[in-house]
Amino acid sequence: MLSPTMTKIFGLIFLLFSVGFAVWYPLANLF
Amino acid sequence: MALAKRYTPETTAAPKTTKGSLLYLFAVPLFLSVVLALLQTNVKAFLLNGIGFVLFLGVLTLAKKGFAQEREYKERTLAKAPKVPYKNIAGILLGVVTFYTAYVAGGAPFAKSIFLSIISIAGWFLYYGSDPKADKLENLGDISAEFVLETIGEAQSKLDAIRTHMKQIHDTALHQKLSGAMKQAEAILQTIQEDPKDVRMARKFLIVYIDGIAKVTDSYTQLEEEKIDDATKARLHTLMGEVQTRFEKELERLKGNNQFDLDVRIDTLKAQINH
Repeated sequence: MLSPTMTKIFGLIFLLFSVGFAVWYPLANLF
Repeated sequence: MALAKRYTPETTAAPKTTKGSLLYLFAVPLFLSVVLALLQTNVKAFLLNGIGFVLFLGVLTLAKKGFAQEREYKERTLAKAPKVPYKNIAGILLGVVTFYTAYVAGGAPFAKSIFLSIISIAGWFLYYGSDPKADKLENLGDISAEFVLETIGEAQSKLDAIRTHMKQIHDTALHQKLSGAMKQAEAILQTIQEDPKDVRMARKFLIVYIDGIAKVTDSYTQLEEEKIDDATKARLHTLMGEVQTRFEKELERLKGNNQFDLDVRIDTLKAQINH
């Protein structure tokens, strides 16, 4: 199992990547 | 000297954590896209992005609620698991919002949007974790958890009321006596939380005495301090002294009771070993 810190780091990367991309699409469409 | 006032710093309840600030970061591009669509008078984009932004604010609100619930749960010695798992709901809603903004508002391919949505939910639970599920109720014996939590909650809210009243009491000696009593009351509450079986013994203390003090401080603060006559003040000082002694005794009694529990357990183990 991953250590709590590693779990958090993975979670953060996942969040930044997925939500970051998703919120970028509508903005990019307007340029 | 008469103008000197007691320094009572504003005691803010539990320090607010910055947990969840990351979510504000995600709201920024959405907000920009709403503004940009408005500037371009692109009605369709404005509506679609607007819905996305509102949904995102929904996630933020739910998450904040969930974090607050979790913090309270962690701070308490005795607590029931949250009834509504706000954090979990926020995580699922984040998945929905991610899908919505990517697919509907952003026009990204369906499969890609689903992928991002799943990753966002996974990220949420890895980073923030899920809501506490188990009740933190130990040493309860045959007493119902509701009874214990209700009694403690009631006492706690009365202590809070007294604390509010205390801010308006400028009589130094009285203030000191009150804060001494409050410290003891807190210690008693803590002892009860550690060994809730004592709640029956301490119920009179919790309900009657704390309530009594709250009523006294309430009436006191409704009067102008300077107008209270000396005889009443003297009586109040004596009373507070007595309250302190009473609280001390209560604390000793509760601790003594725990000592008794320990003695019984030692004897039991001793008997088992010797058999």
